Amino acid sequence: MNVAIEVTDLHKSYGTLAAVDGVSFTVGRGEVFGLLGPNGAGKTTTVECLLNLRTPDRGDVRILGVERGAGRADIRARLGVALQTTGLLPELTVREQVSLFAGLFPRALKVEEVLESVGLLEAAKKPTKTLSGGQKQRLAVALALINDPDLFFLDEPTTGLDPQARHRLWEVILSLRARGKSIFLTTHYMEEAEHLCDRVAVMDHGQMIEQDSPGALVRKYFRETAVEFVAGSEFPRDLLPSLAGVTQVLCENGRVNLFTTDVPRTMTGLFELVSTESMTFQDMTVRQATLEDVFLKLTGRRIRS
Amino acid sequence: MKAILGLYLAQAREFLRNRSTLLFVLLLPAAFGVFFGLAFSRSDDFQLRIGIVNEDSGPAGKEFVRGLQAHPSGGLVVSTGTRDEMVESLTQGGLHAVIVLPENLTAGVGRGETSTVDVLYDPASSISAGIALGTARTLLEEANLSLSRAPRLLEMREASVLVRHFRSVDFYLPGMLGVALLWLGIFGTAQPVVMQRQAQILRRLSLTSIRRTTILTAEVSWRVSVGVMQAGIFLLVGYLGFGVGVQNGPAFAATVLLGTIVFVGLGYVLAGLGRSFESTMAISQMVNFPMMMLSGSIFPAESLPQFFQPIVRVLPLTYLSELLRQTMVGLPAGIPAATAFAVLGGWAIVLLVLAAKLWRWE
Repeated sequence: MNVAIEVTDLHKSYGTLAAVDGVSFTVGRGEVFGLLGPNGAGKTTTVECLLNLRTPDRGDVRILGVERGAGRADIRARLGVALQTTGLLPELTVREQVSLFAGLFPRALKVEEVLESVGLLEAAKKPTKTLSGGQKQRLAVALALINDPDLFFLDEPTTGLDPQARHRLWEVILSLRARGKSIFLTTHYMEEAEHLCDRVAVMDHGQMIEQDSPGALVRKYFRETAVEFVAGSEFPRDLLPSLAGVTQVLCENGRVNLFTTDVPRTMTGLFELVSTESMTFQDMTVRQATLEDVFLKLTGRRIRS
Repeated sequence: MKAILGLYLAQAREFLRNRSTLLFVLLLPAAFGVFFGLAFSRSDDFQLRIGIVNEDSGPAGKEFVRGLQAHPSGGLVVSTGTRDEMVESLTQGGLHAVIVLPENLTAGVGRGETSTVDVLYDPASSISAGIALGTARTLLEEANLSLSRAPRLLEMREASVLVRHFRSVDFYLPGMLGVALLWLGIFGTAQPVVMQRQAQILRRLSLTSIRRTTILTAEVSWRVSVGVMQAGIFLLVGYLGFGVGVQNGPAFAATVLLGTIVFVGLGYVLAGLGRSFESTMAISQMVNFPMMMLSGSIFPAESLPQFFQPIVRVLPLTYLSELLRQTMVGLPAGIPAATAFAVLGGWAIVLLVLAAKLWRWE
């Protein structure tokens, strides 16, 4: 029983569109698992199937060891769910909202403690409809925390938060993990996934493309260093792969990423190219490959487009 | 139980803090009831204003005028003047009719000849013209008899068949309570249910450890409470403002409860029919407006053209307003109470079944 979520060969179609097309993964107890994918990849449908909000066409979903567990009240009592800003009663104050949810579970934490942990104590008396997007997001997380659950589903929990609030929420999530809680989250932020997740899964077109720890994924796809710069469309991109040391070229809009095993020789070649072709480029950085590079390589898109 | 209470209170707060719901469901209907009651209350005694132009110089004309001025039937206001003055007053609506006594009236009476008395009226105001002509005819007959000194063989004694005297507020106040319950269905049920569905509130609540039916139970209980509150407000306003009480308490309570169930049910049906907030409100208005206008709640349904009568007889609000008038102020039954209860009960069953069929959690 060391598995929090176990999904086997999940299928869900809407008409002819296969939103989820044979997805399998497991989330261990005490693990932070991140589901990444561009819009329309099938993340939301996957989460909805896990929470029993949708009935899968095919496949098994086990939540806390129980088949379709989210359909059972006793299992739901052990789940904490933060959906994106939806499901909030607009006229209730923050405190009333959290108190309401506290009353809908057999066991609940203190409302004040939960508000404190997400930094909403000062806004406790504000009606929900007057909250900013970031405050609503934190309120959604507070509702997930109130019943002190074992397994969390956090759907883009930090979208719309300012950096300070985001780091605060990261601390909350890491402290939950330290207490042995399991966390399933979706996110648009690759640095968030790298920072929080023990393992990530990349999803596109309804299928799982990869799943592993962020570090292992970066090492798997990129042993090289990235040279990144911005150049106009007239820049001779077709000449870039032949530069010394370059193993891969990824272009996205005006942004060019050269992955190289030999930074000095690649840079020398790049400067020669620029001077002979009398071309220019801007904003050059040299950096280690990241999860974002992996994502771009796997899906052909940056996650935030 | 704790969960139901929490959800009930949450719905109450959502309702009471939303200005438009509060306005349409709790405040406006009572205000309209009072307004209509006051605005359309005519003075209870209709006064017929008759002008006399006495062109006769003899005693017969004088006696006629004196006879009218001392006429025993109430509600007759007599003024005298020249023909020009009286005609002008008639055309301006100050008088309902003008009786012109010819100059040779005394001479004619003395000779036993028939004299012609002109009665002028304004045909544009049909109701008062009818009454004025009828009254003038009666007055002339009476004068005929008294001038010819014939013995009086018959005398009419007027007696009202109505034991109580009804005022317009007695009609409008119960009718507006009916409209208030209709608005509970539209602004207090259909509208918030669709809004909460769009905000995925039910869906979020269903991810806690309660059952979905618990959420619905709390929600419906709150709406029924609102119906009871509305009735309370109308009773308070009616009693304090106009001395309107309740003639039949148990029947009134049963009517309010049944009406609440019918219109809360209607609200859930409308919420089930609409895909979006906008479409639900559009469908709601298509129900709201005809129901309000054709149910005899705001003005008597009998005054509507024959064409509308079949619709009038189908609408649940017709029966609700009728029952409310009967039980609150004891207005004579236009529809037997048992029939009205039966029709309302039928509507309640139909609407609740339909609401359950159309219900969508998301």
